[in-house]
Amino acid sequence: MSWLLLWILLFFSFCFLRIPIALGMGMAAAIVMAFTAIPHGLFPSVSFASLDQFPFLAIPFFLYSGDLMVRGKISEVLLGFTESIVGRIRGSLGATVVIGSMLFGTISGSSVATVSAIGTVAMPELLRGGYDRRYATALISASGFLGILIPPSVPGIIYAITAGLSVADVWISTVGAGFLVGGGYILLNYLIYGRRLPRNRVPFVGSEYMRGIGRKFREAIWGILMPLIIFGGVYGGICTPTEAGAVAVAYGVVIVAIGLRNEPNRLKNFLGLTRKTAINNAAICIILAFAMVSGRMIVVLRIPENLTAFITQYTTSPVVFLLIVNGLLLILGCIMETNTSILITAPILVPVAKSFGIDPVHFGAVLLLNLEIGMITPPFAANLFVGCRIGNISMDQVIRPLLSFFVVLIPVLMIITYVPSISLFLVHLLAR
Amino acid sequence: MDQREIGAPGVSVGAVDSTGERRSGIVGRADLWLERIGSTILTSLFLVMTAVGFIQVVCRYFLEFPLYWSEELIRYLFVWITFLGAGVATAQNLHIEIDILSTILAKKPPKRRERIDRTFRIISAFLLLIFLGYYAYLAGDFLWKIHHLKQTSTAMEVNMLWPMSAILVGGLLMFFHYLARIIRDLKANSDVDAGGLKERREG
Repeated sequence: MSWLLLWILLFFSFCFLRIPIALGMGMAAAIVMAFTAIPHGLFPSVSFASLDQFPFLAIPFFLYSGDLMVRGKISEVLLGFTESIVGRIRGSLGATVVIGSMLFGTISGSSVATVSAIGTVAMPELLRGGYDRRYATALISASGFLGILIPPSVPGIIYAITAGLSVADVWISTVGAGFLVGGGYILLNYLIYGRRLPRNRVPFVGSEYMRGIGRKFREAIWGILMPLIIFGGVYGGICTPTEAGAVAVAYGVVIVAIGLRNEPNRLKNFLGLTRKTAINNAAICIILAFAMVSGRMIVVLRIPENLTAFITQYTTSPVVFLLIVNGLLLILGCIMETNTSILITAPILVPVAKSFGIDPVHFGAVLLLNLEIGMITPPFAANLFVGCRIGNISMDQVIRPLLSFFVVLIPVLMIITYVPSISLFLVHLLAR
Repeated sequence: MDQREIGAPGVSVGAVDSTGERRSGIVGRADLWLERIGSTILTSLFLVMTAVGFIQVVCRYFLEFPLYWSEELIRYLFVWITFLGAGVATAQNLHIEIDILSTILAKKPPKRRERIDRTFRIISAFLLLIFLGYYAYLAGDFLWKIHHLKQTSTAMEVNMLWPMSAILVGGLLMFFHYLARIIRDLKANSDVDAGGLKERREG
């Protein structure tokens, strides 16, 4: 236990010195290993072996396909498509942002990219529709992470491999949470805004409505098709998530090739984009290499067993345990970046959760939802920061309207935590 | 999941001073040169990796002619891309960091802030040099053992030194880029000191 504390302390002090997370983890592990006489020879072999795994290759593929699709400028058509479906509901603009963010986030795989792409298009519309600037910013920022809860997502891959689970299972387990949060947001938006707006007096014509959807669908189909291919491929049992990623990249290349066909310097742009993705991928994956060394150290020192013994001194109830974990993760999510938080907590907490009789896939859904909520909790909230820049207001002005979204988030988190079947029924239905 | 491209607080994106007079001197030029070569190789390997990944799927599912070597090749390319990319990320200051410091320092006057910032950077780069040097030594030691084992990979039957030397190359690249940075920062620090002295003398 004390070694765990030393490791965490060292890691955080290195982070404070602004040492890259990956190397800070390695250094903290090296020091603890020196004290506990674990041979340092582990370092090169484990850092090689940890990356030499086929499932991890899904990370560069989905990062790449996401970057390509963002380049293909799909945010406008996706919003248009959503609007054609929900446009008649009062407060439809807010609902459009929520659903559009969900679609875009699914395709791009990045919650920050979602906030900036959807925000840029939707913010002027929201303001024109009479929405308050502060509320609109909060709505866009809070909707940004919805797509991460729907496969494919990189945090899901990282959790699945560190916990030794199937990527497909972990991906599908957060879908329930995503829809609950999205539905909650739409309801909330209706209660706050939609209720006060006048009804749409134009008589409803079914055929006209369907024709509108059809027209917008034709524009948006190239964007929507991608997640469908991945879904079908992975859950239809045709290919592995990694192979689905490779197909998604090829698809994205075609989309960009068509999108950029009239632009000058397209090859240069394409190579620049590839280089950016490659560096971005390395920055994430080098953390994996050193986190796995730390993970090995944690296993050798029997830290999960000791932690379990320590916790069971105070409580043997999984309900209390999950409550503690939620509190801890919410705090961690405020400070740390999502992938890193998973790499720190999963090797330690998943074995403890198992000993409390909690399904690791369900635990993953709790963890992922929790850390994504961290993306909008200050002080270090990436989504909020980008949102504020688009909304052109300061962070402290957004806090108050943002609190109303926690009225949805905290209850949903509790439901996901204590009703495992929401996370698991799709897993049982589709993946096994 | 990728907060860095936008430069959110808490996730820093360093100023990229990739060219210009700050990269003067032999070390500085070598720094720039290694970064360029590194990123060119990185981009090409990344494209090869995705292409092989796609070809693998096409061969397995559409041509019904599964390739025995593709999966292994992609895995080894991935290791290389990660370690090479870590080197390039070091040169361009694009590693993922937690930037609590600049939030704390935000209220200090800019000159003072820059000074503290640079001091911290020198301390951290110094610690990193020790760690990365040690890591490169460990990697070299490990590769030496592998060399004597004459191990070959299962599918492609290449010497395991090929994929595994990525860890040594990555470690050395990061080491060198931090070395170049520490030299640059120390130089900037002494320039500031000299400037400060001059100002005081004149004032």
